[in-house]
Amino acid sequence: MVFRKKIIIILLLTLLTPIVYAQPQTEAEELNLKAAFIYNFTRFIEWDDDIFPNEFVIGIIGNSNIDEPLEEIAQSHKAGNKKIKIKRFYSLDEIEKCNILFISKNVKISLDDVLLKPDLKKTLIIGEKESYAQLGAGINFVIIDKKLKFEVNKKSLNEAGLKVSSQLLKLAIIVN
Amino acid sequence: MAVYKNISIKNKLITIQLITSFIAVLICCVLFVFNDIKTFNKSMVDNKNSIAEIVGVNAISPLLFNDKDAATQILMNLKSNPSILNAAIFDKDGAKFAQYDANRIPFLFPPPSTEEPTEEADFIDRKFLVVYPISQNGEFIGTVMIRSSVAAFNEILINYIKVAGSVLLGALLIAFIFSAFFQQQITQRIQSLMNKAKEITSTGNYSNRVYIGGLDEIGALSKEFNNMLDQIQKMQNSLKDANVDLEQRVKERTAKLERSNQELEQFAYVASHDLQEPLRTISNFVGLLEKKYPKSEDEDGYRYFQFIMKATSRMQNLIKDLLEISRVGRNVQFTIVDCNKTMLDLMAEMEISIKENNAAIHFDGLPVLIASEIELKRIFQNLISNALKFKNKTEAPSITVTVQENENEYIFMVEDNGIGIPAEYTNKIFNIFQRLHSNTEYPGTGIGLATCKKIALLHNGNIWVESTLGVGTTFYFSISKHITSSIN
Repeated sequence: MVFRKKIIIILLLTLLTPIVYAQPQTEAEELNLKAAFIYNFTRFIEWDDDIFPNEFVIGIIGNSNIDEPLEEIAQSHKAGNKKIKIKRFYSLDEIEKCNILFISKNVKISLDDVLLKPDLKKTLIIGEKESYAQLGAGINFVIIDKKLKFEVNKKSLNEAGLKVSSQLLKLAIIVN
Repeated sequence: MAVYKNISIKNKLITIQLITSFIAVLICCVLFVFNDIKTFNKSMVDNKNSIAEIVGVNAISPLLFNDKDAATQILMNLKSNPSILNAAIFDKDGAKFAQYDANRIPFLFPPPSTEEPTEEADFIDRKFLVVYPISQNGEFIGTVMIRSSVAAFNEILINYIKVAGSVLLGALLIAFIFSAFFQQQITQRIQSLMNKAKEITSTGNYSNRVYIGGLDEIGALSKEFNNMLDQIQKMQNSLKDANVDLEQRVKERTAKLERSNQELEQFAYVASHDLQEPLRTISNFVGLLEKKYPKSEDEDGYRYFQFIMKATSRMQNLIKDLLEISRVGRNVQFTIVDCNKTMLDLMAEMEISIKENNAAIHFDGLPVLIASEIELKRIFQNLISNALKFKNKTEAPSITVTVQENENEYIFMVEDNGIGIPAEYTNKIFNIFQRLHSNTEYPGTGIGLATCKKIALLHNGNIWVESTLGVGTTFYFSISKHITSSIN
């Protein structure tokens, strides 16, 4: 009986694990995962030191709660050896120079306007809206089979002067 | 060990060389195999570690971006390495992230340590398990575990043992061929030395020499052997010389002795012969003086004459006997003698004496033989005279002469019933001048039996006596049958 119980538990666990680990079940979880992904991107992408010599700035535009998990990561982690700083922007004009700019899906500003901003020439633009990558964002989150994945626009990254590790590229969905 | 002692040197040498090379090659093989196994082991560990490292590096991004498909894909690449049975990637919390099973038999990996992640490589259940912690910039991200079979290792080990075995066998074979070839250099020389020694022992030819053939121990042995032969030969030669010298000296001495003996006999003969004449003159003239001065006229003078006469007569007897003994062997002539006839002649000559003593003399079946008749008659005469002289006072003398014959000689026996001879004198009586009784009791010169002995020796025989006091005496004397050769 004990043995059978064990098997049932193992079976349950095996069934549950993918749900627990890979699938963004709720809005909060999805944001946590995205925040972690954003931080992890910093491990595989090289930025020009000229942007900020001593800090790594992640900007957020649009209405999103991602700032909370990102703030949490910024407290405990560094990007390379640089301190991470989270900046909140509320309008196109407000947007300043930063290493990463996350554009929330709730944003009202058009992507083109953001891309054209001279301060953001060397910035990694990360979106979470369908076809954002095709439109010129460097990375774009997508949900495929209930799993969080990301698209990469290599051309955009190249134009921004960002060097991307192949380790990252092999997991990405390459567009254009 | 006793068996080993009796094995020939040839086989001993081969055995020693085989054992030596076997041990040497065995040690080499063991060391090489041991070293190679160590190297192989290390290279296997290194290989599996580097595979784990590659997997680990590739698994960083899938782990970070929670991409299990990508992680599984990385593990699937291990298919190309058939020794890898199972592999798994664990996340930083120790939960399994992806797994690969080569034979579709899932392996339950032991959960990795997340507290102190360390690289490990161990044999567990005859399988090789590598644990490799994945980290990036010092941050622990997860763990890779690879379980591989050691079949290749076992295969290589067996291969090594096979190779070592054949190398060992080959080396032994070569060592055998070489030692069988080289041992001849030693054993053949020992063999030839031995054969030479055997030959010398059997033929006694000490002028043989062995071939030295080298300056080693066998050469030294051969040299010493030759030296020994030299010495033996020298000794043999000097012995031969000494022998010849000795023979020569014996011959010379013998000749000298014979000469002096002859001279002595000649002297005795001449002396006794020449003494007879003046003695006879003395005797004659004393006789004349006795007649001229008769007993009645001068009694003392007569007594003196009597003493002189007796002494003269004793001296005449002595000289006569001396002459007789020195005559024995002079101008001797061996002829065919009929002993019966000789005895009859002797009886006739001694008739008076025999009758006086009232003696009975018996003889029968005496042989015809080769001897000197005069001497033979004298020996019988002396022995019979003795028997008459030493007769038993209560009994008439009875004398028997008999003979025994064997292959080489006649043994004569002269047996009487006289007074007998004490046992302690039976050897002495044949010496010259040896007398057992005083002259007044039994007159005599002590020469008679010595003469008998000389006669017996002349006939290549001997004389001896057996006697019982008061019962009688038997004289034995032998005459050789092989005198013929000395007849002139």
